Amino acid sequence: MSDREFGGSDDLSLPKATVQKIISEILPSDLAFAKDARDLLIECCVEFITLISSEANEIAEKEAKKTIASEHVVRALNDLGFNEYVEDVQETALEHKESQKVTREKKQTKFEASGLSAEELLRQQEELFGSARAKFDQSHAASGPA
Amino acid sequence: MEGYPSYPPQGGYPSNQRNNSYPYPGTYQTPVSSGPASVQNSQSQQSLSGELYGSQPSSQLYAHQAYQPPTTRQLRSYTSNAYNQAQQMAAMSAGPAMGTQFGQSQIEYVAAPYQQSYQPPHPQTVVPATVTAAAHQVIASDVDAPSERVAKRPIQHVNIKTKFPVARIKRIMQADEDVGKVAQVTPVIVAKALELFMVSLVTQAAEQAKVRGSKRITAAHLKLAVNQEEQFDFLSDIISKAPDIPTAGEGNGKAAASGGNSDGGNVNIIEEDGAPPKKRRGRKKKVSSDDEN
Repeated sequence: MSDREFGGSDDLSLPKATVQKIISEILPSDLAFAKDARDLLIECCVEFITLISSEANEIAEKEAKKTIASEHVVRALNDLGFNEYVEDVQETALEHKESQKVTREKKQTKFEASGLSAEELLRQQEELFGSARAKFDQSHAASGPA
Repeated sequence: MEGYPSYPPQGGYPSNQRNNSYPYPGTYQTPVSSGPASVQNSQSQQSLSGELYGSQPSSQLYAHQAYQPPTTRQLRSYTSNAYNQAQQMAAMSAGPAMGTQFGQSQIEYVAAPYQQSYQPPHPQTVVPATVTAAAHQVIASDVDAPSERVAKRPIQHVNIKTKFPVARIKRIMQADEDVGKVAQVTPVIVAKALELFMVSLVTQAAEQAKVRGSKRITAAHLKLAVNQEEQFDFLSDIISKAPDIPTAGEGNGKAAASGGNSDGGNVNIIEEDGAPPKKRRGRKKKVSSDDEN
C-alpha cells in the first residue's frame, strides 16, 4: 500500500527506483542510463500504458463489454503493431489464471473440506445460535435482578 | 436488480430456521407480487419461480439438494442461461451480513431447482460425486503448484526479475476517464507488455549510444531510438521535448543537455567534458565510425 502514499494527481507515474532497477537489469553493467533519460523513459512507459488501455477499452466497448479483459489487450497489442509481445503476454495471462485458480479452489475447499452438507451446516449454526442465546439469556437473568 | 425481487418468497421462508440464518436486510424483502409479471423476462425463470416458491414446499427442495448436492464447480460447467441467472441471483442474494459458508450454500440453494427443471444435457449432471472428487484431486495437487510456477519463471527468455507494481499500472490505466472496469489479469499482462516495451526501447537507445560511442545513455539517444522505430511513433509528442542528439554542432549539444536536465546544466557540461572526446569523435566521424562498427 506504499502506492497510496502518493495521493492526488501526480501519482500517475511509475516508481523511479523500480524503473531504474529494470533498466540496469536490461543494460550491461558498463552502460549508464542518465537521469533525464530515465524520466523520459518513464513518461514513455506511462504513454504506452495509456495507449494500450485506451485501445483495449475501445475494443471492449465495441464488443459491448464493460470490463477490459486479457483478449482485448492482446488484440490492442496486435492492432498497434506490438505483435511480438503477444506470445509472452498470453503466457503471462495463462500463468496468472493458473495462480488465480489455485486460490479459488482453495477457497472452495473450506466448504467442501468440512464434508458436511449445507443442511448440516445450517443445523450446526442453529445450534451455535441456540447456545449463544442461552448464554445471553443466562447472563441477563443473572445480571437482571442484581 | 431484475432477478431478485422474486428471490425471497412472499412472507419469508416457511421455516424459522431459514429466517434466522438468513438475516436479510430490509431491502431484500421486496414483495414477490410485483416481480414475476413485470420484471421477469424469461419463461423458464417464471415457471421456475412458480415451482420454487409457489407449488413446492421448500423442505422438499432441501431434500432434493441433500440427495444431489451440486457443487459450484459443476455450476460453472453450465454455459446456459440457467447458469447465468443462478449466478446472478446468487450474487445478489449474498447479502452483506452473510458469511462465506452461507454464501456458498446459497448458491446451491438457488441451483437445485434449476437443476431439477432445466436438466441440461451435460454428462456431469448425472455424476456430481465424481466432479467433486475431481475437484478434490485438483486441490490436492495445489500443494505442488507454486513450486512448479517458480521453477517455470527462469526459463522465460526475458530475464527481468523486477516487476512493475500492478496496482499502479491499474491506476494509470484508469486515469483515462473512458476506461471503466478492468479485469484482474489486465494490469498484469499490461505490466508484461510494458516490460517488453521497455526492454525494446532501452536496448535500442543503448544501441544508439553505442553507435555514437557513448557509455551513457541520454534522453537524446532515447529520442533517436524512438524516431528510428515505427513502432514507437506514438511517443513522438513526448519525445519531441527531449534534446536532439548533438549532430548539428557542439553548442547545440551542450544547450540541449543542460536544457534536458534542469537541476544541473553545469554538471552535464562537465560530464560531457569528461567523456567528451569520445562523444565528439563518435559524432563527427559518424560516417567513419559507421565503418568501424
